[in-house]
Amino acid sequence: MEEVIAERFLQQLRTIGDPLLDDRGGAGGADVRAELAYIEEVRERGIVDLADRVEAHAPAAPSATKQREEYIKELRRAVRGRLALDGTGPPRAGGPPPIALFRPPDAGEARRRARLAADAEAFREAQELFGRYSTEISAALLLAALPQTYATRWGPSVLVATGGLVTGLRRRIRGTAQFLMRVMTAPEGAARSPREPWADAVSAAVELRVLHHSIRTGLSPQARRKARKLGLVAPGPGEGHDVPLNQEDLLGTLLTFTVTVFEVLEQFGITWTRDEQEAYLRAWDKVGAFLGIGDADVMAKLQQKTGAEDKEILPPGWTTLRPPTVAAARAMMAAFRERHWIPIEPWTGRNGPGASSPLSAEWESLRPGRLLTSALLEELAAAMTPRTRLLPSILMRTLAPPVVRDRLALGAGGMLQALADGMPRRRVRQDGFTVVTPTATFAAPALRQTANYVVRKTFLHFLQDGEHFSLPGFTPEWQSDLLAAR
Amino acid sequence: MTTATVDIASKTWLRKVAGLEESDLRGHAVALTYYEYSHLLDEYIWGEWNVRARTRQRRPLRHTNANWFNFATWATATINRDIRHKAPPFRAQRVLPTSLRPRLTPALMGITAADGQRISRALSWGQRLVFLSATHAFLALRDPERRNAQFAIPSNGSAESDWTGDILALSGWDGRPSLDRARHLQVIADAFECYRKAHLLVEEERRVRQATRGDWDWGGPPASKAIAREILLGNLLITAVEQDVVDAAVRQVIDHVPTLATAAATAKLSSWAESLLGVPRQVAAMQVPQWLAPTRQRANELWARFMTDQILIMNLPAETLRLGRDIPARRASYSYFPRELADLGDLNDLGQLGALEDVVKKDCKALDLKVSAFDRSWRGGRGTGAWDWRRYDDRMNWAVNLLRSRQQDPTLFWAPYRDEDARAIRDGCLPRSDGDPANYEIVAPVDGSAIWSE
Repeated sequence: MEEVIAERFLQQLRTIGDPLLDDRGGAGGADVRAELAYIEEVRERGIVDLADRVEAHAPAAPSATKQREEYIKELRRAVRGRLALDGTGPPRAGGPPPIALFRPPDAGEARRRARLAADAEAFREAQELFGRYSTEISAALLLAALPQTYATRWGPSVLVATGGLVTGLRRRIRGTAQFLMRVMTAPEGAARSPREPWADAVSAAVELRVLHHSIRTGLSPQARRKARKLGLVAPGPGEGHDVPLNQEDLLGTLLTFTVTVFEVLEQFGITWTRDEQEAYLRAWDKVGAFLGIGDADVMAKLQQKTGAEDKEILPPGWTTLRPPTVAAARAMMAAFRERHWIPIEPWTGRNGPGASSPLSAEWESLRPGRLLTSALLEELAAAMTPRTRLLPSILMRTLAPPVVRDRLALGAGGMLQALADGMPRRRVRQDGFTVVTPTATFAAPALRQTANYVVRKTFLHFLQDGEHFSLPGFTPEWQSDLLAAR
Repeated sequence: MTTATVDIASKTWLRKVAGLEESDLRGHAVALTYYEYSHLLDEYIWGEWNVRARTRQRRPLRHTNANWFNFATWATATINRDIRHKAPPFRAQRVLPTSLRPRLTPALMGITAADGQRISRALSWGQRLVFLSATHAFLALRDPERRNAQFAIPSNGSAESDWTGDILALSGWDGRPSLDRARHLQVIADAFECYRKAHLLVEEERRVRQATRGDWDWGGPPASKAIAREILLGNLLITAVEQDVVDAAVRQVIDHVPTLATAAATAKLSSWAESLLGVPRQVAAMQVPQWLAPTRQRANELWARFMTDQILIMNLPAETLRLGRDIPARRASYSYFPRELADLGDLNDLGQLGALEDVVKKDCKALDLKVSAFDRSWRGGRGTGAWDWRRYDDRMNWAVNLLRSRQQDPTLFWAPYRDEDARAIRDGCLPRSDGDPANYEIVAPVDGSAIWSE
């Protein structure tokens, strides 16, 4: 049995955001106004628009806008500075390379160079895998990982509280899709350094970290009180001191990009070698490091809060709070699920007084996830034809474990689905005693093709919608052709 | 022998109904009580604008708003048929091929009566629990002493009489109450508080009309969004509790056939094991269910889907709805939801709110969130049908759309029993007709709208 981070440390991780940005001296000082203005703008327009606009160096900007841009640049500098210190800084145009190549390396630096080379190799392999299975991986994230995060106990209330359900959701899906593409699409052209296939990933991660920081700051106690008044945030035991987008939620979400993807690909009948899985995990571990998830700053903060040593917090073989192997990642994910997916106990009449939670409290805790799910389904259904409008909900239900179906009120599925679920499975012998049941021979390809169809239609819908959704490698001309063809 | 007729709006009547041992008669008494209470609650909310008074005055109904008791009347009339166990389930006859019906109907009756009439007992126990909670809360709401106070469960040590005491006492089995104060009765109290607010909003409408036009009755009952939504919120809350309470009974009923089939297979295999292998029947009977468990689970799943899709229905006075199919629009040319309930997120023009403005707006937002959390259909009722009626979320998805789309259906106020039958039930006798809409036993009241308004 793989060892994972103990529950008491996970609970403490809920009180930690991004120490690098949250604990900056200036955050509560002179630039508070700029910060609040920025947050307002992020809420109105979304990070994608904002990032584009800042990059474009808008001429003759009014002073308030300049102040805002300065603030964002400062946040970015802070993140990039830390990443450079860690040895995974962004490429520096014309400057000295981050690793000294022309002097004899000492033992530490040689190890660092070897690690970076191995990371780069794994990252490239992951990008190749993504290139081959991008539609399936997108389906896994859109139709399984996203609903699974909505089924968690605390996460969805933050998502609901940070903006309009539909517009906020659309922005989040598009933002996530774009982030995924930037991270996992191999940079083109010889100009890019083969040693740093994560060049785009670093830029995307910096933007995302800044956005997360702004949401964390924006969800002030007043904002939370308002959200609670609207019935969007359910108060729960020990929840009072939770930081929005805290380290536990971030770590759980990071793992959905690997563990949940593996699980769904398996349901699609796709198989990867152990090395491929490890490479993919390693690539996302790197992205996690760029995003400041479970890094040295978080460890220091956790130690400060708990008074525990490294070896008490980290299971054997772990160097950060991110699981180092696929087995550890699966075990960690299982622990998260057990903690967050609380089964809904039906009333049997024998529960006895006080043995069951009040119905109103149960609804409160489930409501944010259900609202987000129904907004997501509405968004996906809008991309389908009238005849295929049911497909997203059918797929979501098929890919969701029973507890997620219950928590999100996804329903049971019809007769056909019950028949498909009840089909006898092939048993394959692994050794003298062990057997495994692989995915159903006929159902898996059908599931895969249907999911691919839904994802293609959805992405096409996003592209045709023209709301600043673009994919790497797709020229603006191509996109305008698409718009014209609508 | 007839007993002295008891006031139906009294605790004595409720105790009498709850204490009836005969499930058949109790089912009728429950339906009759719901019918009477639907009118009493309508009268409580709307005052002189209530449906019964307007019908008697020969005035057009306009803007009726059915309360939970209206829906409960017809749900009870539907399940009473299965509790009585005089005929096979309504849709079962249609599912069977005509040539096989004469042979299979007795077999079907045998199956539904098997295992000590488990179906009938489970249904009537669930029915009794729902009856106790809703009716006692309503009587407490009508209590003149509580007239102007917020409706809630009295706190410990309060001078107010505790209306939950009778419910907990009467719902008990084996010394334990089958309802929970915090889980169920608190929500029921919230629901009746919504009805009380609806009543206050009607009063406010009347006051404003009197002040501005000098005639409170000008234009008839108001088409107020706020009143309609308070009533819908009340209906929704009670339904949510009711569905939670009957969860175990519903599972029993739907899983009955696979359970029976497994028991029969176990008995047969055990007796073979004894005769062919010499394994004692009792020992084999302990192991066989374990071997059959995966098959039984699959059979349960498929059977539940089949039942939901083909057999289960709800009879309303003027239509029969299948639980496994999408709820149709009342008429093709009508909008799916009534105008006041069409866009629950719209808080404009809610009607005359007076001092209740903040509270009512908060309730409207709560209603919108609650409906969104239960409803997974999209426009026009698509996706309202349930797949597996054993699941709470499937039931609530269907129910929330039923409540919202049929709230202004005036036929829900029709009587399930003729006066003569109603008198018989009150006197403790079985009625001559069963009040079953599926058998066309419902008679419409005298209503000029059939000619003048259509």
